[in-house]
Amino acid sequence: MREVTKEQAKAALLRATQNTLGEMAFIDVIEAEEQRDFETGQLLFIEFYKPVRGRLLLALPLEIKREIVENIHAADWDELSVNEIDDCLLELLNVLGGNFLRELEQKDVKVHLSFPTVLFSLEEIPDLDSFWKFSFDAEGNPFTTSLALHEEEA
Amino acid sequence: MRLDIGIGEWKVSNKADDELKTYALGSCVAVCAYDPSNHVAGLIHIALPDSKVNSEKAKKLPGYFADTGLPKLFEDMVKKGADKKNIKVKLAGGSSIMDQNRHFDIGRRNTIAIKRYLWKNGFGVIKEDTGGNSSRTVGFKVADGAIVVSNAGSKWQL
Repeated sequence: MREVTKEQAKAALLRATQNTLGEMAFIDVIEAEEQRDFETGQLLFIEFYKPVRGRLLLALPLEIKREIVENIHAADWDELSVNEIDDCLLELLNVLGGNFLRELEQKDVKVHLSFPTVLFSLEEIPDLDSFWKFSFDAEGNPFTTSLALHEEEA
Repeated sequence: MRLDIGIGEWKVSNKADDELKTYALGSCVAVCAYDPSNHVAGLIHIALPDSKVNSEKAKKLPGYFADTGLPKLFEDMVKKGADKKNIKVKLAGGSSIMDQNRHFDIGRRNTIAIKRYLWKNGFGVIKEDTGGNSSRTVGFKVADGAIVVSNAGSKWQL
């Protein structure tokens, strides 16, 4: 696997997050000026295998989760079922994962991703310390994405 | 007749001879809305995404902000005979200009806020010429909805 620096990964993830949340959910994203704590309202996780191997974890506070879901469905939160809420968040992560890999490669490459999943606790990821954690700001609300890139197996 | 539209203003017309025109869009966005069946055109020159930053200004000049201006534009179009179901929307402007702290991109945020309002209210954007770093002037003919975007020395159809 070619060496990907933390700065390269961060820049690719920022562009991918801006494009994905801007195009799908009409939310503007910028890099956070400082890391801010928030209460996690949703954890979403996806693995990718091609063109590089790795894992991506998206942690959203309830405010952003709700904004994303309401914007994508153009409906009020109370009108939506749990399935509708989960489906659009998982689809968002799927698109984000693909966009990240294309931004990382700087070209329209074929990507291979796992099905995205909802996590109920960070303890489901035992080696979380090995992830790079990046803080973003969605129109005033903080959220994070954590990324681990892996060596190819021999 | 040419109807010039300044920053934070909007105009609507159903007169075939009219042309709506707005100048020097930097990070501002021109929202051009057209009902092709009833030949009603509306153009608003939006400067900022959200009126929460200055509610007093939003009362005096609602068109300055996406969230207060866009409802006014569509209300006036309906008053002039447009059917909301027919309205098509095109966008121009939203150049990439950073805020004073070089932090967020006002043009991008304007464009996103406008699309959010339109999406949530059942209007799709069918075409856009947004982003980049050039200034744009927009001319919008009521007769057929034709939109010409121009900047120093160049003109193109949207």
